[in-house]
Amino acid sequence: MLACEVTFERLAGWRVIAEPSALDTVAWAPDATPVRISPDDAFVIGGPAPGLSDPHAIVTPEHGFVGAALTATELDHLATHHIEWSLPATWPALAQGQIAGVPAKLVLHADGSAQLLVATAAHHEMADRIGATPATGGTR
Amino acid sequence: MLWVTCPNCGSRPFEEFRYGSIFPVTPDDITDDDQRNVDYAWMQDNIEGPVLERWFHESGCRRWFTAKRDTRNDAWLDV
Amino acid sequence: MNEFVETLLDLPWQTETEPNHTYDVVIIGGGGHGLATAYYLATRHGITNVCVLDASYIGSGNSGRNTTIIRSNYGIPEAIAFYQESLSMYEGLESETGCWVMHNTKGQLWMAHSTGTARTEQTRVLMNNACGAPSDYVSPAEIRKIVPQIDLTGGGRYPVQGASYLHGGATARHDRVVWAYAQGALRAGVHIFQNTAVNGLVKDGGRVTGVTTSKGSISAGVVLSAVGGHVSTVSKWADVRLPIRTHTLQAFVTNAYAHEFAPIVSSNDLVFYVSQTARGQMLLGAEYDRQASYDRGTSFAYLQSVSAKAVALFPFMAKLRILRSWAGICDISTDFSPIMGYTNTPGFLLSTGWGTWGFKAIPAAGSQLAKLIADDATPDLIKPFALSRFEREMAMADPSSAGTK
Repeated sequence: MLACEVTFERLAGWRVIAEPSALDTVAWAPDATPVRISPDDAFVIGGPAPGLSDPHAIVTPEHGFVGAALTATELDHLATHHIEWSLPATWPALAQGQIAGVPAKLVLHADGSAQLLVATAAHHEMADRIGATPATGGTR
Repeated sequence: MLWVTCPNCGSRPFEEFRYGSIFPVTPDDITDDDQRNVDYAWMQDNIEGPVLERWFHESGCRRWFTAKRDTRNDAWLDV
Repeated sequence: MNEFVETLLDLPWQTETEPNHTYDVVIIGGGGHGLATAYYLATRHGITNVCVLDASYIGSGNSGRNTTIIRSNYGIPEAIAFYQESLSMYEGLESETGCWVMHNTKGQLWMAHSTGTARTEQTRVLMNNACGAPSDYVSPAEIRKIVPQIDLTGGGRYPVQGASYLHGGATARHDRVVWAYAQGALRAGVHIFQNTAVNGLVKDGGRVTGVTTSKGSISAGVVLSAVGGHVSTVSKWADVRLPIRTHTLQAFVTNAYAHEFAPIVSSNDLVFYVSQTARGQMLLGAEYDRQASYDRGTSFAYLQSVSAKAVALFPFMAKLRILRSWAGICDISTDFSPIMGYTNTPGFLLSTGWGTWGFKAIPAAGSQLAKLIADDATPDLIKPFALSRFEREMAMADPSSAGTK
């Protein structure tokens, strides 16, 4: 396999900036996938706007990411050819860093598959470098 | 080649980060206010050894953090 | 050492294997700056009771690691006057020392890829001409005449707007400069001890009166630190606080390019510089590493980013191969200008803050510091570069002329 022949899709969700303790205890909607970028920052894919115990929390619609579902084989190809750093030892996990020289995130599932997240503005470059198909259209 | 350890994301290549700076320290034995200002504005400890400094993980979690590095060999130390 | 040094220089090493107990002047650091100061002390001022100490071999530090560029196109009048004096002295160095240092006047282009930077370079030309460094602002068409290899579109990304052109820009073989000064100094009676590490200063009251070394203590009338890289450590012994942060600067050469690449070319917007060595290799450098460090490690990321910039402007370089890379540790002063002369500690002098701009300054700094020591008064040319400028609020801020920021 020479390329990572996946297709990016636009993602809609929520960006949540809040006290780490509030993010730790929030009850996410069943159809939502939270991605914890840092202790005080989460990107929630799908679902309704989450409610938080932190009165100063910022919750805002987030359309800045595209995602691509990767099979275990595709992820292995990506890790072998395009990632300089080591993936975390235990999954599920979130890994963040440059992939093919472009800032990206990997949501690693327990079954070995993963979701690749890239900023919309940078994903054409990423698609070009790894041989994927960029997303079409827009959500706004 | 320098690898930087981000407390959120782990060890990543240097080029994923932006360098902040070493924490400036004006020595206590400089007591004159004007001299302290000159020292704060221009002088550097320029330590050969472990230093505390700020880094920004631009390609990852996009958070600033404090790190400890040995300037003699760029070894990463526990804060 | 390279083949030229071994076959063409005749170094009359002194017969002494141990330093004397006392010297008029002890110079810490046997690089270009330390050796030039010793040379001028002996040849111009008759002060021959001088000792130069180096922890390793002479020229093993930044004097043997730089990209050999000699230029005077700085951004403040005091600096232009100083570097132009050095550039002129380099032109006469071979006839003065009788050593072939492979000096070659090539001209230097400093390119702008944006309107704002084009103005910076136009200002530089006006300033340089006013201060005695002949320059012209040249158009893209003129740049192509000077260096036909250029892609004026900058790979479609960095179109060339124009450049300042310093006619006197030159290169010289760096280790031959070091050895020319060493030979001249030795012939005049100066002592040079290699593999002799200074590990402390001797003090009497508040005055520095000598150094302690791996070969014992040496008394000195004055001690000059011409150390590169570890100057903060040496200064700490003398209770002198310095506005200096030490950073790694990397450079690399490619295999030989079979055609002539005439000038030195720098880019102000992209921050990189390239010239051709006498062997035909392309010699490249760029910005110093962002983090303060004493580590001489090189990185793949650096080779990658500098190569991308170079190939964008000079597509022929895509076919070259990188032969080797190396790094030096540079004393970057916080105002990006050198620091020369007296400190608040009597008996302790400095030649430091040479950052990424030291090689070009060797003749002028050496001759001026020798004059300072001989006359016990600071010559006008280097008065603006005294360490006391910071407390006098007269910093010589010139970061945009370093070419490495």
